Amino acid sequence: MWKAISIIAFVLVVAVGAKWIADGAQVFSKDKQQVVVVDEMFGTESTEWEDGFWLGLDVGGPVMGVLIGVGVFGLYRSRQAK
Amino acid sequence: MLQRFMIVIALGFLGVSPILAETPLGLAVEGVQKIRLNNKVGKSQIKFVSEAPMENIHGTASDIVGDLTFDPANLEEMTARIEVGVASMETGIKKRDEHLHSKDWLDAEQFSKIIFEVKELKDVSVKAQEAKADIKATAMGQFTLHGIIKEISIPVEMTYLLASEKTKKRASGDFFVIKGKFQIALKDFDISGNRGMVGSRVGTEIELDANFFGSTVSDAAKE
Repeated sequence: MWKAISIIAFVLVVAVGAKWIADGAQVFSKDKQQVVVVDEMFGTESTEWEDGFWLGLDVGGPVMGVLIGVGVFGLYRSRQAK
Repeated sequence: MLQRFMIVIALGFLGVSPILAETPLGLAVEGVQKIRLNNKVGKSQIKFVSEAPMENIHGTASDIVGDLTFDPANLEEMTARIEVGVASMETGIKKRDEHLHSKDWLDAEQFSKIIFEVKELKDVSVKAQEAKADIKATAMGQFTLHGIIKEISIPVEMTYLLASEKTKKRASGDFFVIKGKFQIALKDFDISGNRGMVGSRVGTEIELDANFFGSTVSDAAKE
């Protein structure tokens, strides 16, 4: 069972890391993202804000840290069980 | 003697000519024009960027009102007052926006507006076509932020567009667009923020990129 927990934890670490990279690898999580809108008449750019959640290292870092801890602990316990 | 006199006259003329410069718009527009910022023409917005070792912050301010007045025969005498609501400043993180508006930073409660006041234009050049004039100039005036007023000069690019069937689809009147980029130093406006933040998480200088859109105001609306 500990081996399975460990595998799940490491898979989640990879998933959280991938989400962090996909969201722009920012330090801080964002709840709004800029969308650039071009005005055709003048060629100027303005910014609209799109609501959502983009993962930053401030949230992703601790989550990955805990998951790595769980994964390592799982490996240790599975080896002990052997 | 005559040669010396001619040189003095020539130098005097060169010295005075910039003061007397009167650059016309170059379009069939007569009389003093009043422009009011109008979001139907285009979205007036200031984008700001703070670059610091820990993070780059990109934000906007969109609550912008203002009026400009100018004589098409003498663009140098253009005046303007543009107000930006501090509470409309966004950076993509709600909590950070709250900090930005708080007393530690811009103090939106006490200093609710950022104000540009243009007193005159310098170094004006105009490229006029049939229905459009592109103006390049340096806007001279005052910039008020955090209750502190500083003299400022901003290179600006402006476009005057005569009303047409195309413009009428957005708004009435002639259109006027102003674009300008400049930098401000936070310490010049007594903005120090939370201890140690400026220089690490917030840049000591903020880059501003402004786009303002307006249209001419009819005589009835001017009253």
